[in-house]
Amino acid sequence: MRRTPSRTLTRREFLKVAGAGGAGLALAGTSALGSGCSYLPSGGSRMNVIVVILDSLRKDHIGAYGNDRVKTPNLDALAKESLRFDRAYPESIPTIPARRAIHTGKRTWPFRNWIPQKGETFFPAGWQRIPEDQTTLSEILLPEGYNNSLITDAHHQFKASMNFQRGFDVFDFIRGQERDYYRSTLRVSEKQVNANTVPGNTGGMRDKVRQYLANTAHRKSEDDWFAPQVFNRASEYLEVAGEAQPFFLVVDSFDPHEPWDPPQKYVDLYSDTYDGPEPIVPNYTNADYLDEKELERMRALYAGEVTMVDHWLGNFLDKASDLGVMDNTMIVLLSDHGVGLGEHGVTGKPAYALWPEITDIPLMIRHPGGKGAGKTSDYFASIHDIAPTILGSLDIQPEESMEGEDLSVILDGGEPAERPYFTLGYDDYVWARDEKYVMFVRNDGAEPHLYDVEADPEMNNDVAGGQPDVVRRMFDDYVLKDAGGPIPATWPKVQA
Amino acid sequence: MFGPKSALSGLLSKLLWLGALLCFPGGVLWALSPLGTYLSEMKYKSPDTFWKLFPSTVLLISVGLICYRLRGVGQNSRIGSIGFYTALFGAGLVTVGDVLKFYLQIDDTYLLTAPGWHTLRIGLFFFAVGSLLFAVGASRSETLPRWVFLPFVFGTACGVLAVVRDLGYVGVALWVLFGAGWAWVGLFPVAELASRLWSRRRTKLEA
Repeated sequence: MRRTPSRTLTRREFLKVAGAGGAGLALAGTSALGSGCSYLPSGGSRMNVIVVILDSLRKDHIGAYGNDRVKTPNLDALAKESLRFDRAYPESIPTIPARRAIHTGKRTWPFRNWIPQKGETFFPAGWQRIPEDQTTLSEILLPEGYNNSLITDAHHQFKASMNFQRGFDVFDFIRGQERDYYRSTLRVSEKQVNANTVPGNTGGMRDKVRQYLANTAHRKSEDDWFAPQVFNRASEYLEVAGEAQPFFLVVDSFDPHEPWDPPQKYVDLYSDTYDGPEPIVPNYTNADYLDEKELERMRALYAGEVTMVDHWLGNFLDKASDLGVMDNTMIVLLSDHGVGLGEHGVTGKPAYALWPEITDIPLMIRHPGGKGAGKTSDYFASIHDIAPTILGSLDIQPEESMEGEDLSVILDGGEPAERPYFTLGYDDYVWARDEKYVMFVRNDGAEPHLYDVEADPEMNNDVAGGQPDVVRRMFDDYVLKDAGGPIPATWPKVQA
Repeated sequence: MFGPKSALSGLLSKLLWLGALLCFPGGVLWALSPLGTYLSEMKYKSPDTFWKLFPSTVLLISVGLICYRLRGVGQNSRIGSIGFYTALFGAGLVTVGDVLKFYLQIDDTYLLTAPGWHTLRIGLFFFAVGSLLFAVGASRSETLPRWVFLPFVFGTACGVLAVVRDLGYVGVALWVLFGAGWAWVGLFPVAELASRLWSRRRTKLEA
């Protein structure tokens, strides 16, 4: 054993030189601080992500959320394995503004810089492309090595220029839903249209049905319906996805959006004596164009549509389970809004009817590690939280911040930033809620509605007239605060 | 007078001296690795290119560690011995984990269990703890002078903290100090040589 202390060395000089070298190293090394990159290798947080969007799925039509009439065994089973949000609301309605928020993690409301898209026929505020200067979740995941696919029949997204294809390796657009100009309507007879509309349906709704009948004339089996097509294509994708892990898959089903024409076996679960014309589309108006039987039939058709979607979602989830995908995959399931079926006297989703049947959405997050399974949260969760939640779960920091909250902290037992109230916008109406009240009103403060949801959760008793101070406080402190000032005028006012 | 055995011994001694020197480049590379990941991000949009090269850092330090050990450093200390083997075990895990994750990309198949990443992280932990124990052992056996082992112990202790969890900016600084600790030890053979040369020169002058 040698002892090697060199007591004669000029220790001080050596210390000086080496100390300077060490400091230099520290400086050089920590110069990476500004980049925000970690000094440790990242990993262990990667997983596949599947986002399932079910358009127009009402929260109160799901067993896991308390419904005991409509059959949704697969949604219920998924909810048992998931963290379920009981107070989730879309930050904006309808289809396109909501999806912009889902894909970008940014609020779409208050619909600033909105201009109507050329070639569109539907003009609620915010119905426009993903802005060029906003980055989508898929664009963030792409350089992280994710294989991104969007499988959808929500045809509004794949109109040219809507930008929803951005960041996806595959965008599988299934044609023909609703008013998609997919097949010529020339061979659709008035008799066929009459059989699928009620006399009170508007001309616009009759046109929608005419196009839909043209698009679906080829149907032979249940596989040809839209939800089956979407989930079957998603299942086919899963068969090859194992070779492209990690993957990010968005399965965006326009069903159970109207038209509601599920195969007969689903309708028979909820209705058996009806013999009139089928009310497969609702007017976006007061429900007084329907008689009681027609309204009941419409509800049965919607319930049947929901059960059909649930069935095919179940097939998809079974496939994922059989392939072992569930072990490595986080699943986020949500809706973008609901739809009125005569409650509060309206059908469809008119912007002035922001009652629970339209604003309340299901949201559940299934973590493959079982985090949060079977638990519920009453956080005011929303659709623009989806992107930051996914990124948070994957431990990915986006270069530009998002406006939503990372809900994945709840999976780990934490709490996201406090949200004592929430606001949402739909065209020229706005909605706000806190622990006690829900208020909705026109953007200019007119036509207020106020409900004490502690005492009246179904919002049947409007107390706005008796409590104008609460309406004013919620409008000023919640709506205008979130909007960052006066709400921009919607299109007709811009034109004027 | 000088037989082949003696020549071989001299050669071996020189090789061990050179080997121990490798702790210096290894330590420097380690300390610069946060910069490496940054540059890799900039150039290749991913830190993975850098991490593919990372085992070279650990291997350089490991070779230096073995040479130190063969030169007697920490040999008569139980802690030093445990540290030596623990560090080598950690270095092995780091290399295996790195190959699994960045070359074979096995974590892309086993996403949630991420065997490559976990092996790499556990390896880093063992490597840092082993380094610390080795440094403590070297100090207790007095096989390194105090001015060498004190910064070495300090640096390796910083390394243990840095690898336990991601400590952000503080972690980067601790990580760099771990590399600097090893670089510091790697300079010791140079100092030792300089000392010998100086002693010889002085002896000559005195003669």
